[in-house]
Amino acid sequence: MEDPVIKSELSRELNLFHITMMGLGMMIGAGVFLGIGNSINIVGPGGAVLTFALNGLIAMFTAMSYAELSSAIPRAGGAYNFARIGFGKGTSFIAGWMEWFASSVAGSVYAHTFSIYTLRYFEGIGLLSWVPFSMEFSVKIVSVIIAGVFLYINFKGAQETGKFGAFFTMGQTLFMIAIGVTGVVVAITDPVRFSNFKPFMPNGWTKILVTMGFTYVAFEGFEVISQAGDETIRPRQNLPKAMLLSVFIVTITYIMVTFASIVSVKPGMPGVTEPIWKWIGSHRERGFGEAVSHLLPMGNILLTMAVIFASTSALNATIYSASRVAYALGRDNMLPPFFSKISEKTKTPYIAIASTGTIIVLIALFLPTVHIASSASIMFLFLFLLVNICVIKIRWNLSDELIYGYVMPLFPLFPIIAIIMQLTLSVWLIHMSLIAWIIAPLWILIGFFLFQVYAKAHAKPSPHDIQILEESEAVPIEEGKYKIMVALSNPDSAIPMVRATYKICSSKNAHVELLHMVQVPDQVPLSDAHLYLLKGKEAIIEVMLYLTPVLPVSSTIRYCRSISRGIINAVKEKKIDLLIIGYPGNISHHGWGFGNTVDTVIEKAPVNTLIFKNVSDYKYRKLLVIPGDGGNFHLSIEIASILAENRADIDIVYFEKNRRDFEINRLRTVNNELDSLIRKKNLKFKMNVLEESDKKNLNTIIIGKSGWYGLVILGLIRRQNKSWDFLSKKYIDIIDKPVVLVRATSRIHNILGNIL
Amino acid sequence: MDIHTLIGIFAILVVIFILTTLLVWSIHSINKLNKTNKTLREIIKEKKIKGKRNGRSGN
Repeated sequence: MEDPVIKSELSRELNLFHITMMGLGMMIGAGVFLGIGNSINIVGPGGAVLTFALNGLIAMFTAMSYAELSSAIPRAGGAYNFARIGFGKGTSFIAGWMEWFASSVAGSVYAHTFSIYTLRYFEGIGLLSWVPFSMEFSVKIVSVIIAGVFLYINFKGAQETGKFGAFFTMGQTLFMIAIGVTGVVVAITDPVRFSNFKPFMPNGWTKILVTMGFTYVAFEGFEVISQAGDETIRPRQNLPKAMLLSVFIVTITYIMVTFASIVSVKPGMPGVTEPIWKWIGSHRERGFGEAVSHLLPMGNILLTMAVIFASTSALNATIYSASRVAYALGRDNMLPPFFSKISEKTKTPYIAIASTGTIIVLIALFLPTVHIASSASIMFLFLFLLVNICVIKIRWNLSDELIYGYVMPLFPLFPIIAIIMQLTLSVWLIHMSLIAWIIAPLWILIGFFLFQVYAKAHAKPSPHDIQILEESEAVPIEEGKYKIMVALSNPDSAIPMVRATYKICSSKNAHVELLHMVQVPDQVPLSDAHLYLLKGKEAIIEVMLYLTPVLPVSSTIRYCRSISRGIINAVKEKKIDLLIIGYPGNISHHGWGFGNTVDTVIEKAPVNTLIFKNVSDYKYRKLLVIPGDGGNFHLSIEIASILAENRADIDIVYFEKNRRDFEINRLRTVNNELDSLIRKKNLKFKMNVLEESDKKNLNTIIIGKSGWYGLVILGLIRRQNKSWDFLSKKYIDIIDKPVVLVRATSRIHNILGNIL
Repeated sequence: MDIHTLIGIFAILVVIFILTTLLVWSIHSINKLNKTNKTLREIIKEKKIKGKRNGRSGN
């Protein structure tokens, strides 16, 4: 949407049913058929049911992260898009690169599954005796043919993809539900079958982690829904609903089907001498089929049909998912732009589909799928992990800008649990396939190489990027030097504000960073940001002329969609020690204390912050300090001491309950610099204690007192409703004296803020 | 029925309960949220104000 030219877009044709079925189709693939027998073998009958239940829970937590992010950023690209916004273009390219590979390889695995099961069935009824090729070669040929068919279906259009996917998925889901329901009915009518669950966990609880890792592949797939962001009707509403619904349906179905598999064989059946769970487990991958064939009439043919439905719908969904990632990479110039070309006739990204098809076919023809599929699993786990980190970071950084269609409860509990579990499962996969742990990093390394040689230089700026327009550095900054950033917003007030900050900068012998953020409206392409540059540049030049002779000064002009995010990023990037911003005036805005920019900066910037209201380089002889709470005391006294004239009187007002926090002498013993400043200026401090009862009259006391002082320093405290305030914001507007608002951050806040 | 079986059945039931609760809560929340376009801050703010009106300010 950046260039003012007419562009082709994907058509919005998929509704809630289509995309839910798409997610279900990708999940109920080959994983569950192979997983049940093996799980029963490793962890026993009860453990197998528990395995699918717990995996469903982890999948639900990750689906909630996907749902929240997709509702706020409903564009094709999925994890790639989220990483772009959360971490920037490097990580997002790698995320997209991994997702493309993982989905494509999963597609070739599903094509193989279809081929193997279909040919085995035909071989079983004697229909393949005339075929001159070996079974292995036949499997590859059929895999390529079925992949070709579904590539064509995907090329034909979104609605066709959705409709075909929905058709196949309905078939397989209904079959699976039928198995589950039959199992429950059979168990109720013949309760002796419940004895198949004895012993419930024959090999102990620890084995559950093993089976969870093995069967997690059966829960990969809901992420395909996020790829449909550009093609879904009412995406903010339908994407999260479809993700959560598909994970819920699939988990309940898996639990029921696993239960049905276990009760499907009656104890004492002729030919079965061992316990039923052992008998099912001994068939490993075929265990599910062997068990179910005893449950339903014509079990074998029905099972083959189910596998055909499952593998083809999963294949359809993976082609869709992989090609949309390639499309998004091309759209953002991370890969050459022809990847994003859309067919005028079918409205589908035909080159992205063709390149995805090439990977699927090549892998299906030439590579052993078992280890490649494990590599895909590792990459999916890494991707999910990344998405769970993204949801935390994006909420922290962009919650003021994004429109959310879904907000998860108890944030960030669920993403954190999912991260821990996904790390555990991905580490466990080392034991499953060492080759996968070589292939996966190799693919990622190729991605890093491609990013360096192509994507880094060509990638388009995202609407959420912060771009540096001009940057000048006066002198190289010494390591460990105190850094003060002055954010200039209004060119007219730039010089008075810098005059006021001069005392602080020179007292701290600080390196001064001047920052001017240019906000580019959403309607204007970021490429036209230079049109907004001129006024900011004038202010910066004026201030630099004033400060450069006495202090080392650097300046930056940046543009972005949100000023607050621009300032916060600059603070983190340049490792600023103190941020000084101007008071925005009496902004009466619902839900905000000082307006969205200042509120967001003081809430999220990991740095001590000062807000200046009408402060100048005037000689202040009487100062009033009201720190508000203990956290601001140190910084308030320090700033008061710096701004005060020699032999000035500094009155500190505080409540009795905070007395221990407010001891000047204790402060002087820990801060030698402050101590010598106080001695040098011969400052006099007077402590005024307010009683709890004075709280009610605080308004009158503060306004009455402030009339006697040249400068008032107020501490900012956080209110229950999350807005920032000094006890009540109205005081600041009423006080007609210069005011400095002080907000000191804690060490923990700084560390967390820098990480997030 | 041994203790492992009891714990196992209980765990499965708890998982189903959590999944159902999360799904129902989420669908309800999505339907409610999508009636208006709001940023997260505005959503949280509105909840707090509503809480205060109902006498659950937490102060």
